[in-house]
Amino acid sequence: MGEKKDVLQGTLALMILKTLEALGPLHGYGIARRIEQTSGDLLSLNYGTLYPALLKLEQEGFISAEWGVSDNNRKAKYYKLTRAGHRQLEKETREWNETAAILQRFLAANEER
Amino acid sequence: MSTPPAFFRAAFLRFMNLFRKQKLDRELSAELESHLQLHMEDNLRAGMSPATARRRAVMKLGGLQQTKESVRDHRGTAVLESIVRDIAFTLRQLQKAPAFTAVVVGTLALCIGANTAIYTLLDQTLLRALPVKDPGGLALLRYSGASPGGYSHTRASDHFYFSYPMYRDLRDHSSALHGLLATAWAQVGIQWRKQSEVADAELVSGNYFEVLGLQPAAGRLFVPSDDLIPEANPIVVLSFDYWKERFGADRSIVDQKLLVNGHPFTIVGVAPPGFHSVVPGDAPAVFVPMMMKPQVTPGWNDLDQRRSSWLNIIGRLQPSLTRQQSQAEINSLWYSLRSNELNEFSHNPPQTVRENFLTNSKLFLDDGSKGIAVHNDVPSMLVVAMALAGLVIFVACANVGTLLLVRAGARTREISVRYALGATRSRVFQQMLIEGLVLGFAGGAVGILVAPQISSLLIRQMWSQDAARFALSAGPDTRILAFNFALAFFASLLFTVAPIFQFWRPDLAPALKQQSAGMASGSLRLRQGMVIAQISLSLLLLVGAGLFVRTLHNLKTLRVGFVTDRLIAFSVDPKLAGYDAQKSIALYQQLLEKLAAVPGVRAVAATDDPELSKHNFSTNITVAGYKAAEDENMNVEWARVSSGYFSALQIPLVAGRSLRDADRNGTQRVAVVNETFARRFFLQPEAAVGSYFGKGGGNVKTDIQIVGVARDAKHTSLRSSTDPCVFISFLQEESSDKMTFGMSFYLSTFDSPGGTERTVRQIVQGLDSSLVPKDLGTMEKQIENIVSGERIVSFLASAFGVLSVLLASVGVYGLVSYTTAQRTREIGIRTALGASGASVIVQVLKEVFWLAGIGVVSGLLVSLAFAHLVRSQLFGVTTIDPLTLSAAIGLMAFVTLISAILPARRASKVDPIVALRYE
Repeated sequence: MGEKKDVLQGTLALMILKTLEALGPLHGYGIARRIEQTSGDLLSLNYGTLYPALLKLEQEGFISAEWGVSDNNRKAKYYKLTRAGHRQLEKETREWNETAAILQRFLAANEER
Repeated sequence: MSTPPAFFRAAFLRFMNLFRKQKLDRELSAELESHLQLHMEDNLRAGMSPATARRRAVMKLGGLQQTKESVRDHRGTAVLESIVRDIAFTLRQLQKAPAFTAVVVGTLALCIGANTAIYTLLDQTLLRALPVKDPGGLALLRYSGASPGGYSHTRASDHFYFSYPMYRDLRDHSSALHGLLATAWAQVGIQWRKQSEVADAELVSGNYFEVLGLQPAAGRLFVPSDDLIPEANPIVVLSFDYWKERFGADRSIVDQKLLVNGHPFTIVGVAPPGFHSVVPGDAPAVFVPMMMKPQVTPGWNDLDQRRSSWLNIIGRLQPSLTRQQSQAEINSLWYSLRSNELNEFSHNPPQTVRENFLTNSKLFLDDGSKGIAVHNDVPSMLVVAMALAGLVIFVACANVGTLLLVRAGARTREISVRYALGATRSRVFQQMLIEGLVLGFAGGAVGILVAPQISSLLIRQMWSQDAARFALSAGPDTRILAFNFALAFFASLLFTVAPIFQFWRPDLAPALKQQSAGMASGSLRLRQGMVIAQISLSLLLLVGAGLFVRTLHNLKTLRVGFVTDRLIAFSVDPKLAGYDAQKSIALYQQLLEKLAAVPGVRAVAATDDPELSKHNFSTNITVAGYKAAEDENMNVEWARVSSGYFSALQIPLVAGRSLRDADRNGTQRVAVVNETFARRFFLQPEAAVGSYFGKGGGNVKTDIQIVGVARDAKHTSLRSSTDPCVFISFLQEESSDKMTFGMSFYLSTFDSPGGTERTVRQIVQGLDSSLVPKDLGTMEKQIENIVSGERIVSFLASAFGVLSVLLASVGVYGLVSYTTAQRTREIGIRTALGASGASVIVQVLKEVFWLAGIGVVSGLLVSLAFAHLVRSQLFGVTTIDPLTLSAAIGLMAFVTLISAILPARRASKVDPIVALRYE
């Protein structure tokens, strides 16, 4: 297990959207747990940083929130992806992939020398 | 990550969040608590104890409070919330200090209100463009060089009046300007349904309304074809206000007739609302086509006279040409027109005349968007007033800044605690700024309420009798409101700077311990500097006020050469009622008889040249036996008077006799001249008696005999020196001179005139009900009006002077309060060591007077410079008037003393034990 890297700003929002797309409606704790798992525990995540990010996404209209009941009959605030959120996720994913591909070429090119 | 629509949605929600704060906070707490519970459950399942489970969950969250704060920050309302909180805090604090708040808001309200009031008037008289179509495309015509009314020697470059033939030529031949309109002011008698009144009228060319692009409110307006043939079209257009007041906005008056100077005119329409005249400040009741001038100004028919300049011209520039191009083009036309005129006037004009009239004469196209600025002196006075008001507002801000500093000084401890608790500098400044803004806007709001009152006061002072004639309103409009609040905002910023400087680098420890040693010397210097500046400015204003008050007093008490008390004056213009020359002379004789018979009246004088009216009628003369040099000015003042003139006004004769009743039509024409005339043409007054002269130049017959020489008196104005003057009996005026002239009557009474004015009115109306005595009142009141300009200036200067002195005293008070408060400990020690209260006071006062001394000296220097600058406006006072200067200095010293003594006494009464305990 390598050093846990700090989460990059802005990428947290993308990770939240992806998580919600994959798992459907989920509460804040669940999203945090899931992000940690998905990164293979390579990311160190302060769960508290999730909530401001969730608020921002909600303000921008990419997710919506609703109070519901969890499996253990506990009240929790559930977040869900909106249609706009879906579109945003697609757009961001595409951009990230492109950026990664370009960078990949650069790094590969330099290595060839 | 956010797209534009997302950004706005977020921004909007953030704003709305302001109002849902509590609900959102509750939800957040619930959400975070549920998060912790979920995490705890997982931890419990993993086998931890309940306590550990909870602790681990909280740690993993990153701290409950921190998370809450973090979310709250992201709500985006932090800044707005803090502002709201600061405003509430400020209001609470201000409520606890009512005296301070009252003084500050009052000072600001007065200054801002005064500025707004002056700006309102300035806007209406100077800045506002005419309410016509495209005012920017209008050009006002002005020319330099000699005027065609005789061989004038003025080289002035501001002739605004043209003759009608010149206007016609310019209008018909100019290509640079199209749509040249002409306008002139006149006064007429209007009779409608048996009621007569005197009203202002405007003679306008037929294209007047077309060029200005105006639409009628009723009926129609003039068209060029209305103004082609002299005396052919007796029609009028009513002004909107006159239509509303006099005719009740009744649409059926169109096509009805009213009498103008006794002649029937048809009303064809009404001008649009909001338009008064192309001369700003004038408000004529009716507009009359220029071709009807003979009826409007009876006896003065000069439509064809090239020598008579009586109208103003405004034209529209061709949009395709620049102003320079238009000016160049019209100047070539001007030159050829003037050249023709010159040849017509004289066949072989001397070289100087040719130069003055032709070579050095140019036509200028001035900006006409604000119309014809005939009433020019007042706007410049308003500008001066505005500059003064601006200065005073600056002083007021300095003062309020000082007061805020005093307050801030008392809050040093509180602010240091804030810093210690982690407040950022920006938060502290935000609170101070908000306090300043709240005060500033409060002052602005009250100022807006006060401004109309100040405007009305100014209008009454500055326009006095003419107030009704001028279309000025005291109320503010949106632009003025915006100006007012911009001013309030500006002022707030200005005076909050001071306390902020104070707390720029706070020394926490000494401030917390209430030690005073660390008081920044820089800010003290600043405050001292401000007080010095205030004292200097106050002194300047006081000196200015003193000089002008003395000028005013000198003008009012000037020996004018004739008796001015117990003198009632009025004038009558019978041509407005349709009288011709002969009838009016008969009328005057009747009036003289009847007025002399009124009980309490000692004597009656009549003259067609009203005293001190700044107008006079002058003409060229030829004196027998006196050879005039080639371009010597043979112009003298010419007055037609009654035989009792000199005795009624108590003007003594130094030689010969006065005019007599026997000097009438048919007998030898005689005249009385004044001393200046006699000395000019005869060296000795006695030598003048018996000599002859004639009216006019060239080869006119010198058939008027001088029978007496009168003492000089001021006829035209109070300030100007006397011109040579000729008095002839109005009964002896040439019968060929058909001009009907108005007459002014002066009644000298034994006691102060009581109901005499009413009697006069009865007599005049008794002779003819359509006659209206104009300007009926005492001579003293008239002189009041004459010196209205000086009165205004001295009023303004005094008002500002008093205001400035008050402000300076507040400034001194504030400064001394502050410095003694800071040095409480030091004073306490000195008292404990045996210093008496008096010595403390003396020490404080010594420092103050040192400051005041610097202020006075610098103020004195500036005052002397200022006095030198305005010396042309002064009368009877030198620039280094000792009375004014010593009074001003004395007053400043006294005020400074009073303002300093109060806080000094308070400081000296400090209980040393209390002072020392403040450590």
